[in-house]
Amino acid sequence: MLVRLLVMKHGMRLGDYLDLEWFLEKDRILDPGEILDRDRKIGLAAQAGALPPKLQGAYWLERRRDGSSGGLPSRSLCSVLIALRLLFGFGGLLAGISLVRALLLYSGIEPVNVSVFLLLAVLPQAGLSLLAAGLLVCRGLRRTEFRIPLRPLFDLVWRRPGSLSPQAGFVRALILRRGWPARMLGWESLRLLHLGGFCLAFGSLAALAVSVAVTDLAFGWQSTLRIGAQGMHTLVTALSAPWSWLPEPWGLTPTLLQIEGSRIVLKDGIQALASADLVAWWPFLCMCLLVYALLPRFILLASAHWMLRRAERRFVHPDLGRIVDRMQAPLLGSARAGEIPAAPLHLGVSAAAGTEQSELQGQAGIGCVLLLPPELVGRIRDDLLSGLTRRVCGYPPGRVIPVSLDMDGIRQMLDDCAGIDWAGGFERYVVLIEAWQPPIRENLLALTLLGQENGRGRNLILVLCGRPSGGDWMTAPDAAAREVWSDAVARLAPLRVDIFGAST
Amino acid sequence: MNSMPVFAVIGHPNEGKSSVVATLVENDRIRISPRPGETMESMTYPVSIDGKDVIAFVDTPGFQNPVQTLGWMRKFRGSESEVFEAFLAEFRDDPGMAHECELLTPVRDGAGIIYVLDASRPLRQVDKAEMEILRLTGRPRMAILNCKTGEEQFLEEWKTELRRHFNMVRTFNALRATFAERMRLLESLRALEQDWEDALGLVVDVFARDWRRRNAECAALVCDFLRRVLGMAETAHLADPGRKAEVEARLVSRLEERIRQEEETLHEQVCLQFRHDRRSFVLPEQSVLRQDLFSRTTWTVLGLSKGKLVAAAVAAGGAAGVALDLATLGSSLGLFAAVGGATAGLAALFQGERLVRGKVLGLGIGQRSVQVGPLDTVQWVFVLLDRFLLHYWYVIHWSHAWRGEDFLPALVDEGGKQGFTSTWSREARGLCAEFFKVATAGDDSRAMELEADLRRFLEEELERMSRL
Repeated sequence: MLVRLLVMKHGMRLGDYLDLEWFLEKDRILDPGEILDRDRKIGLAAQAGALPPKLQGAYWLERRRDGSSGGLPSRSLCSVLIALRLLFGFGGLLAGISLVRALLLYSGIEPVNVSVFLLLAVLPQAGLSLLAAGLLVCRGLRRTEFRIPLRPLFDLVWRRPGSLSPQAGFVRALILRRGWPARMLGWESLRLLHLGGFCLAFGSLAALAVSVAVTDLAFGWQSTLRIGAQGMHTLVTALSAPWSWLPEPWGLTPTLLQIEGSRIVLKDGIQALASADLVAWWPFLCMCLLVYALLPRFILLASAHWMLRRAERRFVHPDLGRIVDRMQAPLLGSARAGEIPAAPLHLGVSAAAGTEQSELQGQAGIGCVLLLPPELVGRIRDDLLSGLTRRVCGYPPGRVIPVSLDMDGIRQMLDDCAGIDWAGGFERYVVLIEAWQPPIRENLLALTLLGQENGRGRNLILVLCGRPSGGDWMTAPDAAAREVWSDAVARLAPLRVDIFGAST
Repeated sequence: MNSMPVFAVIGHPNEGKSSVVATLVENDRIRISPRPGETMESMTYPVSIDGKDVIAFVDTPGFQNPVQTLGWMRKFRGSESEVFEAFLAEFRDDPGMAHECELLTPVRDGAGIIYVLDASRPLRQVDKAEMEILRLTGRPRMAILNCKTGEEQFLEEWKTELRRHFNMVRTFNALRATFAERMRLLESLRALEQDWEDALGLVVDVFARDWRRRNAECAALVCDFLRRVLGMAETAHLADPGRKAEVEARLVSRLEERIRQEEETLHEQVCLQFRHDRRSFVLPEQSVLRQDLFSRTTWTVLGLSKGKLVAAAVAAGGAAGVALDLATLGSSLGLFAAVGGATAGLAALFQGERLVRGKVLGLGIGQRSVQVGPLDTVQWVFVLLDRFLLHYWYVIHWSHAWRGEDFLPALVDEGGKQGFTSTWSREARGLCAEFFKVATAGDDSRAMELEADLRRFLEEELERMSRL
């Protein structure tokens, strides 16, 4: 993996970006938490390997590839590109060889015409290279992206997406949908074309060199025009200007005498021409192919390659930042503890029952005792309290006792009330409860203690009031509070408690 | 002192302890019930960073016998440091004191205390007993005033009492807490105990970073969604030209359904980013998001007003024209920008509110095929963005402690429009309009540049909304 990463240190390639899109597409259906976990693990592994931040995106991709089963878009693209490179490379090579071989046909009667060779084997290649270079310069001057109309081409070639492999179908959809893969593929296509051109030039040159080495060739020139050898020499000198600095003994440019000696006049035949002059042309033709066909094509191929790499390097995939962020951001988690089953609070009523004794002593006239939370003393008018007890038990409160609803408070209160002469012989305790307070165990135990009859008749009445509002401290309780208290009190059975709601 | 900060969340029954824990640790699964006494055992909810627990919150049962407990402690004759150990030893097997034992155990083990109370009710004796018990622990402690019903008439009374017993008092509504409020609460905990400063500082930093990451993810998700939706089209072979209307209607229906599904996926992804179970997340009854994307109500309430829509379209059209003007090296004297702006503005004026149903592109190619889409009215991008932002707003305000009640956060309301986009700057609206233009026209390279800008803008916008 390290080797691959080092290869990628100059930036990700088109295939890498396609794979990146492929994995992002797969992530769309995953849970974000799952993605976070995975990417953070990759990030921690990258940190452990002291990987520089700029390589982390590539590292992520490699790890995803390692964990991926099945084909990847980059592999589909790579297969197609290899096939195309072979096609263009061998095609160009064969075309170059066959072109030159056709031009070099010589049976000893008529020498190979240098002008025809230049016109058919050198000038077209040089012209096409010049055109391609011109287009690149124009593009550079206009500062616009190079565009190859790939959409219609792809639409035409891959008309039936359903028949493609998922990876190839994805590449097709991506190229048709997004701009950047199409642009990169445009450069890739240009590189392919230049590869074909380069192979064509190379094939031409190789065919010429091999033909010279293994066959006996004679080159000459002819013209109906009266330009003479001097004119031809001027032209040859101009063409050979790029290599004119090379040593003359190498014979890379025919001399004036050699040009004169290789002029073919049909009516005279070739018998009168010197053999040395007839073979003096081939180094010149080789240099022409090298300088005007092979080298420009090589430069164009290298520039297309460079432009593709530049496009890949300059392209910033919008999601790469997100990925690196996920790799670098510490993973925040919280344990998903299971729910705790609800269960009624243990009251221990039986343990508390019967522990208290109270004696009622005769004291005439008290219908009921109202137990009031200490915090409400002085906050509710007496007439309201009186009306309340009348409503729930038919008597006005003989005493209003502030007491908190806990065991100590109730014990103290019962002691204080001992000896009261209850009207009708029944003890009636009305307990005002702020129902918005939850019934805690202490309250319920206190009620249990309060409700113990010890053989005497005792009524226990709870009046539930709601949250104070606008200075009113005896509001009606809400349904939820009432239900909670009813349920809690029901668990005090067999203790009988009547429950009412307060309302002013 | 524990190296890892542990906070026991303690209080009276039904005061919102579990809600506070659920909100702080972003856990939808914590049992929260309006019925008191549902929490029977202490449950620890750790917060981990890269799998390593860094802090923990312990959700405890409520006090059931505060007066009795305080009474016992006051009668205890040993040293103050032994009182809790002695209490737990004494009542370990007493089922009636099970809750007290449960809630005091983590405190004995070194946990800090977060005392939660409902400040919308008056102070009572039992509360004072509870506070006194907690004061006796001598542990770092903070009180959280959780106004459950929103009434604050008792707030000052509570604060006065609490300051006598606690190192710090904060107001924090677990059901309404925004991200910023959560961060402030964690910052306060940091100041509670010096030994825990580093750990809590790390947690705060990671929380903040994680939130930014979520916003960046959401911005990327919505940009991806917009690109997908704005480029959508449906094409069908037309065998019988007489059935063109029927085919068109079928294509429109199919296109609408695809857009709805994309939006649903987007909303689900946003929910998941914020750790909300999509099934438990419920939109408010009154929300316009309950309306279909293609309904008139959606278009009436969301998007831009006509004037702003035209201005945005003019800005987008002008921007495209400026590029042409630049190409002529200024020789056109801004003519392209003017014409482009005017054309886009007029188009928005007359077509800006057209629904997809009104836009059926019947492109006859030799009378053999029909195409519907892509969307061609600029208002679309604002409606879609508004729906996303509205959903995001609900999601970040949807408390992990919330269980089923209706909740409608405040929204902007500007001239009948309730979307967020209408409050954006002219430049931001122009950016959206231009993005719409290039995305629907298939200018991918320009769309990509604009998408990067749009993402950055949306990230900032989401960050801003988080802090409202």
